Amino acid sequence: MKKLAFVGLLVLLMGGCAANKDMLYWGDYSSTLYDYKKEPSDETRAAHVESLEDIIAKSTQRGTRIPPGVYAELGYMHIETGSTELGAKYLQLEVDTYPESQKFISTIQQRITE
Amino acid sequence: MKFIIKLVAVMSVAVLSGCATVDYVTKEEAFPNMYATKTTSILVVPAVNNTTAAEAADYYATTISEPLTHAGYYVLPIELTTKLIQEQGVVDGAQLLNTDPGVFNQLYGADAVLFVTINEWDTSYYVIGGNVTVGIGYVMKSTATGNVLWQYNDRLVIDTGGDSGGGLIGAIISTAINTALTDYVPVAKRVNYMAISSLPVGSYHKLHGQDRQTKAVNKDKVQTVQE
Repeated sequence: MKKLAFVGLLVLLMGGCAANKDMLYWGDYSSTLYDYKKEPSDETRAAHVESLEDIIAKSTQRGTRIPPGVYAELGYMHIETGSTELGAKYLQLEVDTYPESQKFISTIQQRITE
Repeated sequence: MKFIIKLVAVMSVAVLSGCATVDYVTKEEAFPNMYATKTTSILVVPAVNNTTAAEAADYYATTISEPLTHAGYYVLPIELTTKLIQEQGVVDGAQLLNTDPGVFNQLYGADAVLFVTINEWDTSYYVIGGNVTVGIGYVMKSTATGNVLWQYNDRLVIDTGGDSGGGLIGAIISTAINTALTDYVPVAKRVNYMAISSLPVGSYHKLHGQDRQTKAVNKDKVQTVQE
Protein backbone atom coordinates (compact mmCIF):
# COMPACT_ATOMS: atom_id res chain seq x y z
CA MET A 1 0.00 0.00 0.00
CA LYS A 2 2.78 2.36 0.96
CA LYS A 3 4.64 1.44 -2.18
CA LEU A 4 1.60 2.17 -4.29
CA ALA A 5 1.16 5.55 -2.69
CA PHE A 6 4.80 6.30 -3.35
CA VAL A 7 4.51 5.34 -7.01
CA GLY A 8 1.35 7.41 -7.26
CA LEU A 9 3.15 10.39 -5.77
CA LEU A 10 6.08 9.89 -8.11
CA VAL A 11 3.80 9.79 -11.14
CA LEU A 12 2.07 12.93 -9.92
CA LEU A 13 5.37 14.71 -9.43
CA MET A 14 6.71 13.62 -12.79
CA GLY A 15 3.46 14.60 -14.44
CA GLY A 16 3.91 18.01 -12.90
CA CYS A 17 7.39 18.28 -14.39
CA ALA A 18 6.30 17.08 -17.81
CA ALA A 19 3.41 19.51 -17.95
CA ASN A 20 5.77 22.38 -17.18
CA LYS A 21 8.38 21.37 -19.70
CA ASP A 22 7.41 24.16 -22.07
CA MET A 23 6.70 26.64 -19.35
CA LEU A 24 9.36 29.22 -18.63
CA TYR A 25 10.33 29.54 -14.99
CA TRP A 26 10.21 33.14 -13.77
CA GLY A 27 10.42 32.39 -10.04
CA ASP A 28 9.96 35.50 -7.88
CA TYR A 29 11.15 37.87 -10.60
CA SER A 30 8.24 40.24 -10.59
CA SER A 31 7.90 40.51 -6.83
CA THR A 32 11.60 41.01 -6.03
CA LEU A 33 11.88 43.59 -8.81
CA TYR A 34 8.80 45.35 -7.48
CA ASP A 35 10.26 45.43 -3.96
CA TYR A 36 13.55 46.77 -5.30
CA LYS A 37 11.77 49.53 -7.19
CA LYS A 38 9.52 50.40 -4.30
CA GLU A 39 12.30 50.56 -1.74
CA PRO A 40 15.73 50.55 -3.38
CA SER A 41 18.24 49.28 -0.82
CA ASP A 42 21.13 46.84 -0.59
CA GLU A 43 18.75 44.20 0.76
CA THR A 44 16.08 44.52 -1.92
CA ARG A 45 18.79 44.65 -4.58
CA ALA A 46 20.47 41.51 -3.26
CA ALA A 47 17.08 39.78 -3.16
CA HIS A 48 16.49 40.58 -6.81
CA VAL A 49 19.94 39.36 -7.83
CA GLU A 50 19.21 36.18 -5.90
CA SER A 51 15.91 35.74 -7.68
CA LEU A 52 17.62 36.13 -11.09
CA GLU A 53 20.20 33.53 -10.07
CA ASP A 54 17.45 31.23 -8.88
CA ILE A 55 15.68 31.52 -12.25
CA ILE A 56 18.87 30.46 -14.05
CA ALA A 57 19.52 27.56 -11.66
CA LYS A 58 15.96 26.21 -11.67
CA SER A 59 15.51 26.60 -15.43
CA THR A 60 18.74 24.70 -16.01
CA GLN A 61 17.56 22.02 -13.63
CA ARG A 62 14.22 21.72 -15.40
CA GLY A 63 15.70 21.88 -18.85
CA THR A 64 13.68 24.92 -19.87
CA ARG A 65 15.03 28.01 -21.61
CA ILE A 66 16.37 30.78 -19.43
CA PRO A 67 13.64 33.40 -19.86
CA PRO A 68 14.47 36.31 -22.18
CA GLY A 69 16.35 39.15 -20.54
CA VAL A 70 17.31 37.34 -17.34
CA TYR A 71 20.98 36.84 -18.23
CA ALA A 72 21.18 40.43 -19.47
CA GLU A 73 19.59 41.92 -16.39
CA LEU A 74 21.80 39.92 -14.05
CA GLY A 75 24.85 40.85 -16.09
CA TYR A 76 24.00 44.52 -15.92
CA MET A 77 23.47 44.38 -12.15
CA HIS A 78 26.91 42.82 -11.73
CA ILE A 79 28.47 45.50 -13.91
CA GLU A 80 26.78 48.23 -11.85
CA THR A 81 28.55 46.92 -8.76
CA GLY A 82 31.91 46.64 -10.46
CA SER A 83 31.98 42.93 -11.37
CA THR A 84 32.58 43.84 -15.00
CA GLU A 85 33.98 40.52 -16.10
CA LEU A 86 31.20 38.42 -14.62
CA GLY A 87 28.66 40.89 -15.98
CA ALA A 88 30.12 40.69 -19.48
CA LYS A 89 29.91 36.90 -19.32
CA TYR A 90 26.19 37.07 -18.59
CA LEU A 91 25.59 39.60 -21.35
CA GLN A 92 27.25 37.23 -23.78
CA LEU A 93 25.07 34.36 -22.53
CA GLU A 94 22.01 36.44 -23.41
CA VAL A 95 23.24 36.75 -27.00
CA ASP A 96 24.18 33.06 -27.17
CA THR A 97 20.71 32.06 -25.97
CA TYR A 98 18.83 34.68 -27.99
CA PRO A 99 20.70 35.83 -31.11
CA GLU A 100 17.96 38.41 -31.71
CA SER A 101 19.31 40.34 -28.72
CA GLN A 102 22.67 40.89 -30.44
CA LYS A 103 22.12 44.48 -31.52
CA PHE A 104 20.85 45.69 -28.19
CA ILE A 105 23.41 43.83 -26.10
CA SER A 106 26.27 45.17 -28.17
CA THR A 107 24.99 48.69 -27.47
CA ILE A 108 25.18 47.89 -23.75
CA GLN A 109 28.64 46.32 -24.15
CA GLN A 110 29.91 49.42 -25.94
CA ARG A 111 28.69 51.65 -23.14
CA ILE A 112 30.59 49.60 -20.60
CA THR A 113 33.89 49.69 -22.43
CA GLU A 114 33.59 53.40 -23.17
CA MET B 1 -41.01 31.16 -46.36
CA LYS B 2 -38.91 34.28 -46.22
CA PHE B 3 -40.64 35.22 -43.05
CA ILE B 4 -39.80 31.89 -41.47
CA ILE B 5 -36.15 32.22 -42.41
CA LYS B 6 -36.10 35.67 -40.92
CA LEU B 7 -37.81 34.43 -37.81
CA VAL B 8 -35.34 31.58 -37.42
CA ALA B 9 -32.46 33.99 -37.96
CA VAL B 10 -33.76 36.40 -35.34
CA MET B 11 -34.43 33.57 -32.94
CA SER B 12 -31.04 32.00 -33.36
CA VAL B 13 -29.39 35.36 -32.81
CA ALA B 14 -31.45 35.73 -29.67
CA VAL B 15 -30.54 32.24 -28.52
CA LEU B 16 -26.88 32.66 -29.38
CA SER B 17 -26.60 36.02 -27.71
CA GLY B 18 -28.24 34.41 -24.72
CA CYS B 19 -25.38 31.95 -24.51
CA ALA B 20 -22.58 34.32 -25.31
CA THR B 21 -23.10 38.03 -25.17
CA VAL B 22 -19.46 38.55 -26.07
CA ASP B 23 -18.54 38.72 -29.72
CA TYR B 24 -15.43 36.60 -30.15
CA VAL B 25 -13.53 36.55 -33.41
CA THR B 26 -10.48 34.58 -34.51
CA LYS B 27 -6.98 35.86 -33.96
CA GLU B 28 -6.32 35.97 -37.68
CA GLU B 29 -9.48 37.92 -38.36
CA ALA B 30 -8.60 40.47 -35.72
CA PHE B 31 -4.84 40.72 -36.25
CA PRO B 32 -3.96 39.66 -39.81
CA ASN B 33 -0.78 41.79 -39.79
CA MET B 34 0.65 39.70 -37.01
CA TYR B 35 0.59 36.62 -39.26
CA ALA B 36 1.98 38.50 -42.23
CA THR B 37 5.06 39.80 -40.41
CA LYS B 38 7.86 37.88 -38.76
CA THR B 39 7.90 39.09 -35.18
CA THR B 40 10.41 37.55 -32.81
CA SER B 41 11.60 40.36 -30.58
CA ILE B 42 9.51 42.96 -28.83
CA LEU B 43 10.63 46.21 -27.24
CA VAL B 44 8.30 47.40 -24.49
CA VAL B 45 8.70 51.16 -24.13
CA PRO B 46 7.83 53.01 -20.90
CA ALA B 47 4.08 53.13 -20.40
CA VAL B 48 1.97 56.19 -21.03
CA ASN B 49 0.43 56.99 -17.69
CA ASN B 50 -3.02 58.55 -17.85
CA THR B 51 -3.68 58.13 -14.15
CA THR B 52 -2.83 60.23 -11.11
CA ALA B 53 -0.66 57.45 -9.64
CA ALA B 54 2.82 58.70 -10.46
CA GLU B 55 4.54 55.36 -9.83
CA ALA B 56 2.10 53.28 -11.91
CA ALA B 57 4.28 53.05 -15.04
CA ASP B 58 7.35 52.04 -13.08
CA TYR B 59 5.53 49.31 -11.14
CA TYR B 60 3.67 48.15 -14.22
CA ALA B 61 6.99 47.52 -15.94
CA THR B 62 7.62 44.61 -13.55
CA THR B 63 4.60 42.72 -14.91
CA ILE B 64 4.76 42.74 -18.70
CA SER B 65 7.82 40.69 -19.75
CA GLU B 66 6.61 37.48 -18.18
CA PRO B 67 3.31 37.02 -20.07
CA LEU B 68 4.84 38.10 -23.39
CA THR B 69 7.59 35.49 -23.07
CA HIS B 70 5.03 32.84 -22.15
CA ALA B 71 3.28 33.78 -25.38
CA GLY B 72 6.45 32.86 -27.26
CA TYR B 73 8.21 36.18 -27.82
CA TYR B 74 11.66 37.48 -27.08
CA VAL B 75 11.23 40.57 -24.94
CA LEU B 76 14.23 42.87 -24.79
CA PRO B 77 15.42 43.21 -21.16
CA ILE B 78 12.95 45.83 -20.01
CA GLU B 79 15.00 47.15 -17.10
CA LEU B 80 17.90 47.88 -19.44
CA THR B 81 15.91 49.25 -22.37
CA THR B 82 13.99 51.54 -20.00
CA LYS B 83 17.24 52.90 -18.57
CA LEU B 84 18.58 53.63 -22.03
CA ILE B 85 15.35 55.29 -23.12
CA GLN B 86 15.26 57.42 -19.97
CA GLU B 87 18.85 58.48 -20.51
CA GLN B 88 17.73 59.82 -23.85
CA GLY B 89 15.45 62.20 -22.01
CA VAL B 90 12.19 60.29 -22.17
CA VAL B 91 10.35 60.32 -18.87
CA ASP B 92 6.90 59.32 -20.07
CA GLY B 93 5.99 56.93 -22.86
CA ALA B 94 3.73 59.61 -24.35
CA GLN B 95 6.87 61.25 -25.75
CA LEU B 96 7.48 58.18 -27.92
CA LEU B 97 4.02 57.78 -29.43
CA ASN B 98 4.87 59.74 -32.56
CA THR B 99 8.30 58.25 -33.04
CA ASP B 100 8.80 56.38 -36.29
CA PRO B 101 8.71 52.69 -35.22
CA GLY B 102 11.68 52.01 -37.52
CA VAL B 103 13.91 53.86 -35.04
CA PHE B 104 13.35 51.09 -32.50
CA ASN B 105 14.76 48.60 -34.95
CA GLN B 106 17.82 50.70 -35.69
CA LEU B 107 18.63 51.27 -32.03
CA TYR B 108 17.42 48.07 -30.37
CA GLY B 109 17.05 45.51 -33.14
CA ALA B 110 13.39 45.01 -32.19
CA ASP B 111 10.90 43.56 -34.68
CA ALA B 112 8.00 45.19 -32.87
CA VAL B 113 7.41 47.89 -30.31
CA LEU B 114 4.71 47.69 -27.67
CA PHE B 115 3.09 50.87 -26.42
CA VAL B 116 1.18 50.43 -23.19
CA THR B 117 -1.23 53.00 -21.83
CA ILE B 118 -2.34 52.85 -18.23
CA ASN B 119 -5.86 54.22 -18.19
CA GLU B 120 -6.98 53.17 -14.73
CA TRP B 121 -4.96 52.44 -11.60
CA ASP B 122 -7.47 53.29 -8.92
CA THR B 123 -8.74 52.37 -5.53
CA SER B 124 -12.30 53.20 -4.53
CA TYR B 125 -13.91 52.90 -1.17
CA TYR B 126 -17.57 52.78 -0.42
CA VAL B 127 -19.29 52.37 2.90
CA ILE B 128 -18.78 48.67 3.42
CA GLY B 129 -16.56 47.78 0.52
CA GLY B 130 -13.92 48.86 -1.89
CA ASN B 131 -12.25 47.88 -5.10
CA VAL B 132 -9.08 48.14 -7.11
CA THR B 133 -9.34 48.85 -10.82
CA VAL B 134 -6.62 48.48 -13.42
CA GLY B 135 -7.32 49.33 -17.06
CA ILE B 136 -4.68 48.97 -19.76
CA GLY B 137 -4.50 49.71 -23.48
CA TYR B 138 -1.98 47.93 -25.71
CA VAL B 139 -0.76 48.81 -29.19
CA MET B 140 1.96 46.78 -30.88
CA LYS B 141 3.53 48.12 -34.06
CA SER B 142 5.88 46.54 -36.55
CA THR B 143 9.23 48.33 -36.73
CA ALA B 144 9.56 47.18 -40.34
CA THR B 145 6.30 48.53 -41.73
CA GLY B 146 4.94 50.74 -38.95
CA ASN B 147 1.67 48.80 -39.16
CA VAL B 148 -0.35 47.97 -36.10
CA LEU B 149 0.13 44.26 -35.35
CA TRP B 150 -2.02 43.94 -32.26
CA GLN B 151 -4.21 46.25 -30.24
CA TYR B 152 -6.30 45.54 -27.21
CA ASN B 153 -7.95 47.11 -24.21
CA ASP B 154 -8.67 45.34 -20.98
CA ARG B 155 -9.59 46.15 -17.42
CA LEU B 156 -10.33 44.36 -14.21
CA VAL B 157 -12.09 45.43 -11.05
CA ILE B 158 -11.22 43.45 -7.96
CA ASP B 159 -13.64 43.78 -5.11
CA THR B 160 -11.78 44.11 -1.86
CA GLY B 161 -14.82 44.34 0.35
CA GLY B 162 -15.19 41.43 2.68
CA ASP B 163 -17.63 40.27 5.31
CA SER B 164 -15.57 39.85 8.41
CA GLY B 165 -18.57 39.02 10.54
CA GLY B 166 -17.81 42.01 12.71
CA GLY B 167 -20.79 44.11 11.70
CA LEU B 168 -20.55 47.40 9.89
CA ILE B 169 -17.49 48.69 11.73
CA GLY B 170 -15.73 45.38 11.28
CA ALA B 171 -16.57 45.42 7.59
CA ILE B 172 -15.20 48.93 7.15
CA ILE B 173 -11.96 48.02 8.88
CA SER B 174 -11.54 44.80 6.95
CA THR B 175 -12.18 46.61 3.67
CA ALA B 176 -9.49 49.15 4.46
CA ILE B 177 -7.06 46.37 5.28
CA ASN B 178 -7.96 44.27 2.25
CA THR B 179 -7.65 47.23 -0.07
CA ALA B 180 -4.25 48.10 1.30
CA LEU B 181 -3.13 44.53 0.82
CA THR B 182 -4.60 44.14 -2.62
CA ASP B 183 -1.81 45.70 -4.54
CA TYR B 184 -2.26 46.96 -8.05
CA VAL B 185 0.47 44.73 -9.38
CA PRO B 186 -1.36 41.38 -9.09
CA VAL B 187 -4.38 43.00 -10.73
CA ALA B 188 -2.22 44.38 -13.54
CA LYS B 189 -0.75 40.90 -14.05
CA ARG B 190 -4.20 39.43 -14.54
CA VAL B 191 -5.14 42.19 -16.97
CA ASN B 192 -1.98 41.40 -18.96
CA TYR B 193 -2.80 37.70 -19.12
CA MET B 194 -6.39 38.38 -20.16
CA ALA B 195 -5.30 40.72 -22.94
CA ILE B 196 -2.32 38.67 -24.13
CA SER B 197 -4.52 35.59 -24.56
CA SER B 198 -5.80 37.40 -27.66
CA LEU B 199 -2.29 37.87 -29.08
CA PRO B 200 -1.16 35.39 -31.77
CA VAL B 201 1.63 33.36 -30.16
CA GLY B 202 5.25 33.92 -31.18
CA SER B 203 7.91 31.69 -32.65
CA TYR B 204 9.08 30.30 -29.29
CA HIS B 205 5.61 28.90 -28.62
CA LYS B 206 4.83 25.38 -29.77
CA LEU B 207 1.55 26.54 -31.31
CA HIS B 208 3.23 29.24 -33.38
CA GLY B 209 1.32 29.77 -36.61
CA GLN B 210 -1.37 27.32 -35.58
CA ASP B 211 -3.64 29.65 -33.64
CA ARG B 212 -5.11 31.56 -36.57
CA GLN B 213 -8.56 30.09 -36.05
CA THR B 214 -8.52 30.42 -32.27
CA LYS B 215 -11.53 32.46 -31.26
CA ALA B 216 -9.93 34.33 -28.41
CA VAL B 217 -10.44 37.92 -29.41
CA ASN B 218 -13.23 39.92 -27.86
CA LYS B 219 -14.09 42.31 -30.66
CA ASP B 220 -15.19 45.04 -28.28
CA LYS B 221 -11.77 45.09 -26.70
CA VAL B 222 -9.82 45.58 -29.90
CA GLN B 223 -9.12 49.22 -29.45
CA THR B 224 -9.02 51.62 -32.31
CA VAL B 225 -5.86 53.61 -32.53
CA GLN B 226 -6.10 57.31 -33.07
CA GLU B 227 -3.47 58.30 -35.52
